[in-house]
Amino acid sequence: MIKFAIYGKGGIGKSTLSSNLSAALAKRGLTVMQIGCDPKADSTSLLCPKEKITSVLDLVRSSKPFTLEDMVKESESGVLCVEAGGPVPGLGCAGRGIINALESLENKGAYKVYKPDVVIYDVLGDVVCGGFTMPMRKGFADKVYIVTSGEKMSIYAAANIAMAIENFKKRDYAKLGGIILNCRGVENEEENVAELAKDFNTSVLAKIERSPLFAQAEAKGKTIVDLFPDSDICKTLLGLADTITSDFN
Amino acid sequence: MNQTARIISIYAADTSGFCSALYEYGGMVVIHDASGCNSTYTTHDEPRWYDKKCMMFISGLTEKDAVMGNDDKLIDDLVIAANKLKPEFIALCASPLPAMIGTDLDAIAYAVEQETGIPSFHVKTNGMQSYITGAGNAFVELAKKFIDDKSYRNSEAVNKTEKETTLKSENNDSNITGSSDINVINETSTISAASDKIKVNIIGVTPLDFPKKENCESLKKFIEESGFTLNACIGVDTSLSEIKILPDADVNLMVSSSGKPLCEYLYENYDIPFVKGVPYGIRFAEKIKDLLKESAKEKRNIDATSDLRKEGKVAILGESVLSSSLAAAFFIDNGINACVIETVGDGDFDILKPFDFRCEDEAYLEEILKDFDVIIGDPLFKPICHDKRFVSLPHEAFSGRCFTKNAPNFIYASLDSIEESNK
Ligand SMILES: Nc1ncnc2c1ncn2[C@@H]1O[C@H](COP(=O)(O)OP(=O)(O)OP(=O)(O)O)[C@@H](O)[C@H]1O
Ligand SMILES: [Mg+2]
Repeated sequence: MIKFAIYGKGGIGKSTLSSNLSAALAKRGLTVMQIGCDPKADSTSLLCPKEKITSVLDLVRSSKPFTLEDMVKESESGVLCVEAGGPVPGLGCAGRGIINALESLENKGAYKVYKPDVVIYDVLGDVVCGGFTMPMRKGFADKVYIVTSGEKMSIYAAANIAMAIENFKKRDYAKLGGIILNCRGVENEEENVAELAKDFNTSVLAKIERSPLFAQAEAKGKTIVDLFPDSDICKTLLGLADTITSDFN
Repeated sequence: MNQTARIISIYAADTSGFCSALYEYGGMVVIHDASGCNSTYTTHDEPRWYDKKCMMFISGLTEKDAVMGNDDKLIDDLVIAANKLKPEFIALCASPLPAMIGTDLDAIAYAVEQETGIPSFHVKTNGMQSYITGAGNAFVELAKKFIDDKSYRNSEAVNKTEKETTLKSENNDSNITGSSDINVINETSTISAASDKIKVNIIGVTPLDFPKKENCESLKKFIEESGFTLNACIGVDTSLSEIKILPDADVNLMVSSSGKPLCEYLYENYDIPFVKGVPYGIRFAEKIKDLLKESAKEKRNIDATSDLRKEGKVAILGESVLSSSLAAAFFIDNGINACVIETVGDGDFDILKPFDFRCEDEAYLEEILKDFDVIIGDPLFKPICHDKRFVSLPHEAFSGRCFTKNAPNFIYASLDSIEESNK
């Protein structure tokens, strides 16, 4: 089973890229499960309409018994979508929520029943507490890919995440798999990100151009892979999907 | 109000079960918790505290450490203490606080093991489950860590073809290097082949259910006098070497719910079946003796109480396996029919009959008890038993050491004394 997590600064494009990667991997014939680890519960919105999905923590909140099928919804393109969800903003403990959701999923046998070939954890931007490292703990993701642009703040956030992974080495957590450059069109973008990669002894796995196609696809609630299969961006995304699968082999 | 106890006591928590299960195995047993609570696990729940040593620690978690995620402090403390004390292993468990903030004790155990080379593991607790879960999980984690899988898996494969050749081939096998543990294993299996006695593990003994020395002695006496060889008694009067040789047994005797996870683990991984039941009384003990033989022969798990229960006006309150066994013993030894009222809210529910009750709620319990003539249970239940005839049967996990001194011992002994002991 290929299990990886996508981390990166808030708003940098993690959910968009996770969903496109899911679609790309599904296109390659793999069974993919994408798990949104964010109280916003918007990770899979390009794959599955929001009203179709009830987040795990909404199910927990209801205090009624629920099944695995209540948590996992299949998208049109065959991706298994899960949203961890979380408390109402400003209340409770979102980090604990992620732990609870991921444990519920495992306890109900999600990995054993659906037997996904690939599991993608799309994690909220800022790793503010222990709960948000849950996806990189043993038994969850084996690799972490960091999405960043060439902007200073984005690189700063990426470096913090890379550092955290480095610090967790002693603990047998997920390893850093590489960096995904999602362009914002700033100056020296490629050089800046290449330097970051060098600092952490890793590589830039793909460069995704800034493109209006993302907004167009988003307006239709679809991924670029599904909506614009002939575009250059789609080719880049398929290439990235292949790089990741071969990275695991 | 539901699930509240205004009058009666509550059962020891999973953290106590964890400590109790691991007490005698020579490890460093550490609860990640604020300091000052050691006494809960020791003076309240641990009768061995006064005559047997155990490296039991509280991490001394502070608010600052919790807020800052200062796990390194725990790791450093563990490494320093371990290097000094040289324990056989390090076992960690969580109190409610680290359980809530999701401290990754698996990872901390891994880091400590990397640094010290001492086998380390985490037993899942959160301070809010019962002692049964804590002890049950602790036994399994200990077994997973210390049963040398390789030597057993290898020998088992050969074992299926022929037992004698196994011994020879094992001795000649150059792959198995001369570690002392493996030598022990070979020696014992040679002895067993020679004497042909069935080897039995007693599983699930903790002072929380079996607080008196006599309880444990009677269990052992029962095994020996029944013509079996006692392979291991988990976990009183025991040591780590017994964990290592658990798979040598032909059959397990599960004497409490705390023993269930380990019995199931040994059945699934090493094909060792188990018999469920405490050998109370004379004839019920006799019955268990026969069932142990049957189970070993047919490789089948057996509930010794299953056809020895009838609904009656006597209520036995407490843990499910002990209470059901006592009910079965009353039935076959004394012709008394009794219902079990499972009051822990945790453990083996399969053993219960349709006419038994599961009840953790004080008000509901008080209601149920109105329908019985005689009530057998821990003395701290007495205040809600109306003016029914009450027979006192102290349970350490419920009332600590308060009544242990006067607790009767019915294991492999006549039940008639229950009248006398309560005069
Ligand atoms: N390469 C790109 N070109 C143009 N727009 C993009 C590109 N990548 C992402 N976007 C847009 O950026 C916005 C934010 O993306 P997304 O929601 O995926 O970010 P995120 O990292 O998941 O955010 P959060 O941290 O809030 O979860 C979306 O509207 C998306 O369409
Ligand atoms: Mg997102």
